[in-house]
Amino acid sequence: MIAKLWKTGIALAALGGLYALSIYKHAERDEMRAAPVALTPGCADKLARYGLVADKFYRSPYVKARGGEPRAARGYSADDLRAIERGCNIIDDTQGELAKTSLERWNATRFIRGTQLKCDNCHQQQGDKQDAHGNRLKGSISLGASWVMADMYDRFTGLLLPYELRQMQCFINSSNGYKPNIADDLIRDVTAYSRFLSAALDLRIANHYEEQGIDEIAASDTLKQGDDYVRGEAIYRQKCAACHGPQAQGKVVNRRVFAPAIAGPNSWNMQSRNYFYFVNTILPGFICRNMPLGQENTLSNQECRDIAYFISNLPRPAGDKQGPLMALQQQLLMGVIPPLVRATERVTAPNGTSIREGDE
Amino acid sequence: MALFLVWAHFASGEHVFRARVQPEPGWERFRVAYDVGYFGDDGQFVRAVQNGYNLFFYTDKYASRFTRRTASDTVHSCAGCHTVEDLAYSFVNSDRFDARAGTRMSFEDQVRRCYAQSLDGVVPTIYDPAVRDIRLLARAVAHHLQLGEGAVR
Repeated sequence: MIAKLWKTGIALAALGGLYALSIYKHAERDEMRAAPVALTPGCADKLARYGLVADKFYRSPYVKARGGEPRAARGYSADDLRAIERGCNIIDDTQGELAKTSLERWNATRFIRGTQLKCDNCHQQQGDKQDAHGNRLKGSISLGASWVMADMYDRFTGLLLPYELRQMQCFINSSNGYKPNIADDLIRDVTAYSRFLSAALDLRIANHYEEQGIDEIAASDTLKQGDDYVRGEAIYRQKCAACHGPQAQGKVVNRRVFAPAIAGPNSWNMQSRNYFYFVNTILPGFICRNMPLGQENTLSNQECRDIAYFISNLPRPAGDKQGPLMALQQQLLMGVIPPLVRATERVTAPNGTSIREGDE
Repeated sequence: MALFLVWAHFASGEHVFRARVQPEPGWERFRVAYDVGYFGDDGQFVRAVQNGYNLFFYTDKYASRFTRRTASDTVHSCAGCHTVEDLAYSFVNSDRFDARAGTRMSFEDQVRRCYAQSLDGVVPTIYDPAVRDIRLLARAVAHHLQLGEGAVR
């Protein structure tokens, strides 16, 4: 009888403990929602330029600066403001390198397996890439333009894909991670920020804009020489390896990611649309329009396809759909290939000419 | 099994067995007025908007799982309280902090609240077509009106 009471008591205490923990965690989140947001330098600059303040109406300084007449849109409350600021921080600093605690980014790293990737790697300049004159750039995967074009039929999933589900796909595949809940603060804040961007840029619902998505490059857009690994490797070494490392494993300087891994365990997985063998037009399009940083649009379509082909042949994690055998194979390759290549280079490279130093 | 499939497709009358959405009165007029045929350029989207139209104007028929209201009630559909343009403006003003609810409300949250309260029913999941297609209807109308984020009347 006493043993039974003990067991019941322990079970009740465990349940009570879990309940208390959930109350504590909820309170912690509520506190974070109400706390002032410490912006990253990039977000502080962007949101100041876009005139984000709590007010009854919002009029876009961007539109005014470009000679337009800004419309009076509904303004933002202090709570909305903080959500937008947190959303921008998440895009700019997903791994929380600039945050005091991981909670400031809603523990976004829970949903990313690697230690290098952040949203800003692809959605550059906090998801709103512009040139020096403030022109939005073609194929720059703008988050504001993506928001207004959300809910369209997605040919890869066969779904009418809402913006929130698209974000989840990014976490699962492009970040090789896990799916956040659709109502998670992480997702909601990024949505709030993206919606603000569309207001700041005065984008209209479901209109097509050049900066939306990727400017895809098909084989038919090239000289039709075929996608070539050897050519790809040569161009990669010339144009990309200085930042991303000779084996595309990324570069970390003073514990800050200087350039992210684009192959290996810290990179996107084989189910991502960036993976050439899954979709062979997206990564070349991204490279041509967004890389190398500061020299965008300098590579030819053929070069972009060759680089993408080379990168995608380097070992990277398997996606969920590839199954456990492929996952095991990729894990083995990721463990074996890099040291093997380094050893080979040591033997074959002329004295001191190897470019290994950038590799993490 | 084969007989069942043939019956299901041709004779059951159940719309779940076919991609085509039942055209309800007013749909053609609505489609032309809001350029829905032009919008999206793909059948899936237009079908979803059409389903959204049916849900909006004939809620008791198409979302009977989520409402206790019937045709005999004065208000038995979304259209009893809102116009499609209200819906579009609500869509571009959603995801904002709602002081009354004490939380941020997405458009889907508002639709679900309507099912539970105004339509005296139960709450669909956020992924349910009964919620999704109303959002797509709102998006199509917002596109036709060329609304942007936070547009005010």
